[in-house]
Amino acid sequence: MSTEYHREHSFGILKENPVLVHLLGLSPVLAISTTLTNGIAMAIATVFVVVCSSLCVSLLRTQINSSWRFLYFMLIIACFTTAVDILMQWTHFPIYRELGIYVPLICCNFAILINLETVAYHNDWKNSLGKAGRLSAGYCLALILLSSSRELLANGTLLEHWELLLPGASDSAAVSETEALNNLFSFVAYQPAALILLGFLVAAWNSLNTQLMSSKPAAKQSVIPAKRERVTGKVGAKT
Amino acid sequence: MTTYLGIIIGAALVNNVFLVQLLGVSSLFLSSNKLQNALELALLNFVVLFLAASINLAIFRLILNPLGLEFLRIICFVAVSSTLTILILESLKKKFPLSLRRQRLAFYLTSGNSAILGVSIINADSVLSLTHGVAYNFGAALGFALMIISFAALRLRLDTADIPTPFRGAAIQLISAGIVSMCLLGFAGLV
Repeated sequence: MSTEYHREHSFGILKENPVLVHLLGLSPVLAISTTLTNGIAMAIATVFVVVCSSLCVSLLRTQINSSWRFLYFMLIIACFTTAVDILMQWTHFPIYRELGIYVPLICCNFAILINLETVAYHNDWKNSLGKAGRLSAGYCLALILLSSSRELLANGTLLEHWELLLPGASDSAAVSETEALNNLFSFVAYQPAALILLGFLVAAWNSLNTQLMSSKPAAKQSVIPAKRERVTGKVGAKT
Repeated sequence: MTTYLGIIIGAALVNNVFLVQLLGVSSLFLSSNKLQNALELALLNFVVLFLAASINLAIFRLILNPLGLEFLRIICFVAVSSTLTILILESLKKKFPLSLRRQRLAFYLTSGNSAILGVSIINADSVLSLTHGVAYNFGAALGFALMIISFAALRLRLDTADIPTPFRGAAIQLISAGIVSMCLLGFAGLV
């Protein structure tokens, strides 16, 4: 995998998915995805930070000093993350407790940082808003795929305790820990299974991508077959 | 002394930042699979993680907590870690221009490493004393660097292995990371 992203690199949903193709911003994806409710909450929080920070950077890009720009980017992301953190504590306390330290960790998401560096820093606000939308759609898709498959395998349910997503949910609805232990695939709730499952998901994504690519009518530039030149015997002779 | 040793081993192996707590997993996959590049990256990450987490711990305990400014912790921690990274990289620029140019983005992304923020926040919530917290940071940084180096070696073997086409690249790396993480879960109860 290449570590360098050129200037106009932008993320997308299918081919340039930030999680499933580039493996960026994995730590929240892997740690949070035990239930779909957690995944959706994390996705909403991340989308807010992505959109606001890229808007902010693209508006302020003439003011930002170039050699210290990573510091500015990090500070801008951190401000929005703090806002999300405090808002979530206020309105969604039970789910905030479920997510734990991974809400503050949104600000250390490489996908957001690379998006700011390669897209928002060089584009005006309309362009960067569109590209931030594509990045966050790809991110949400990966989060929802992984978390729904993990919840289905571990508990056999989908979107259980969805009422936690409503503001002001009561504490009693919080997920109990003992539930998962009764099931066959309780291993799925642990960390190694998250990594292995994401690996299988990436493999499925790869084969889907290659099938989509091959089904397209290919070859805008058809390869010109090389002419065979004679180099032994009578060189230059017409055959 | 045994307490410190226990904390260091516990942070490095039992609660490995990478694969047990799943912090900063993406920087594992950003590093290249040349062993020398991985060594440089691991060294940089070790220094930055240890120093930044220790400074953050001191700031939280001595300034933010007494003044009741805990809500500023994310901004404060991030400012410290990225300033530290940029300062270290600027000072290294003259001595090692080549290695800096080779993996510039990976180096600069160290400032956005979620392990630094994660360790700082765990420290802020934990009940360990200041010196014990520094020992914990040392252990966490050690485990982090260890995993980067060993993973580079692992990926060198994966490059030559015969793998089904859709699993090549990212997928097989994730699955092998999962197996390594399973091994690390076996250290539970060591300390």
